[in-house]
Amino acid sequence: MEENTENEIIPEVFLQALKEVKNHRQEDGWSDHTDWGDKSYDVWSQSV
Amino acid sequence: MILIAKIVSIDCNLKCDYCFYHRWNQNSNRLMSCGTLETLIKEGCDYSPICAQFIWHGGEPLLAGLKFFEKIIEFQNKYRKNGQNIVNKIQTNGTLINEEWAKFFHSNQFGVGISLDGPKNLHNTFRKYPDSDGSFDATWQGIQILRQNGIIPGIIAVINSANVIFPQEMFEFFIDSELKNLVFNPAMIKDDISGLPTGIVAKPTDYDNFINRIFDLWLKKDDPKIEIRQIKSVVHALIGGKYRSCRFKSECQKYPTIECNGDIFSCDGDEQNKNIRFGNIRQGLNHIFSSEIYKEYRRKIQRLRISCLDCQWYKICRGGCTRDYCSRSQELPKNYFCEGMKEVYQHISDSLKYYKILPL
Repeated sequence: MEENTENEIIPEVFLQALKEVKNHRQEDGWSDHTDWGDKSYDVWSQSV
Repeated sequence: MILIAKIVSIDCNLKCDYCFYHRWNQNSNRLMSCGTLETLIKEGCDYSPICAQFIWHGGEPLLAGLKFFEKIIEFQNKYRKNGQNIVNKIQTNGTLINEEWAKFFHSNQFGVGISLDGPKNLHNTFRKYPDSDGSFDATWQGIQILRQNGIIPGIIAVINSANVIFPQEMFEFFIDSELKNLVFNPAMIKDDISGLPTGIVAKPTDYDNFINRIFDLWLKKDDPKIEIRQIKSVVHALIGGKYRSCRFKSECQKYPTIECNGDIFSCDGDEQNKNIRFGNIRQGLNHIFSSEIYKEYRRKIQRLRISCLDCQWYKICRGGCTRDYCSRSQELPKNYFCEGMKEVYQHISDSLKYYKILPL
């Protein structure tokens, strides 16, 4: 594995993932039977 | 609990070469009755009083017709509890979408997933009408109609022996088309006699090269609006998050399939377990999910992964998707993509270490 000697900044996509994990927004999980696209419809409440 | 309803059973207006449903000997022209639909929605609302989730699936679910979907909304309004969220998602090949459908989905906040295998030449290799004509143009038109009505669909692309060697073309096609919610599910269809994957299925090394290349392109593009489910699931799992994709959860029992007559089966993508019938929706979900056959299925899913327990990546993949397990006779089933996916987990892990998100 190459070493990051230049201390390259963390990519936005990783920062976003860290933020999402911190906020625990993915409690419900996804089913690979569908990909429902626009997340404005998404509901992240806990499953029962 | 997510309820997956096959409202027209396996009926479809397409005949894709890799679809395992063609080998199921079932009648056609079926539609879930109003009575079964009402029971399904009542049970779903009762079982999950905070958030009831329904995936309307097929076959091709739009064959059920708009009036059927208006009934869905009518029953959900009837059985919705105070403060309850109801989430509807549909997975369609997109070929039947018109203005009426798009307006319905938008006004009723349906999440729409389209099955699209990449640019025209790659999509049309296997996704065809029964007369062998490719379906790309009709699917593409459906996507444009959705967009004109304010819906940006998610995409499931089935990765097969034809498109697996074109990761860059696939990625650029989707991103240039502003389709940024992507799932890359591997095709899995097994030979009836040997039980092994057919030539349509991507080789494990090709699939891992595909996903690794997609990961590199995703990282280079660095646009947080691009959501690639397998990649994001692995990233989340590696940095301590929960599992996003059902393929990494080892909880197949939480995705029951409801046939159009109300019979409830294990996940229908799981071909080797297709005969496991838990019961019928009329028996009630509480009864079914406490039944011995349901509990035994759960144990079976765990037993299938017993040889994975010592693997360093088990905490990430949980043995992967059950439908990807296959074996020659007398051998224990193994996940066909296992060895290749280990390369993916290593590649993504190395990248997280490079940026010091994970310790070296």
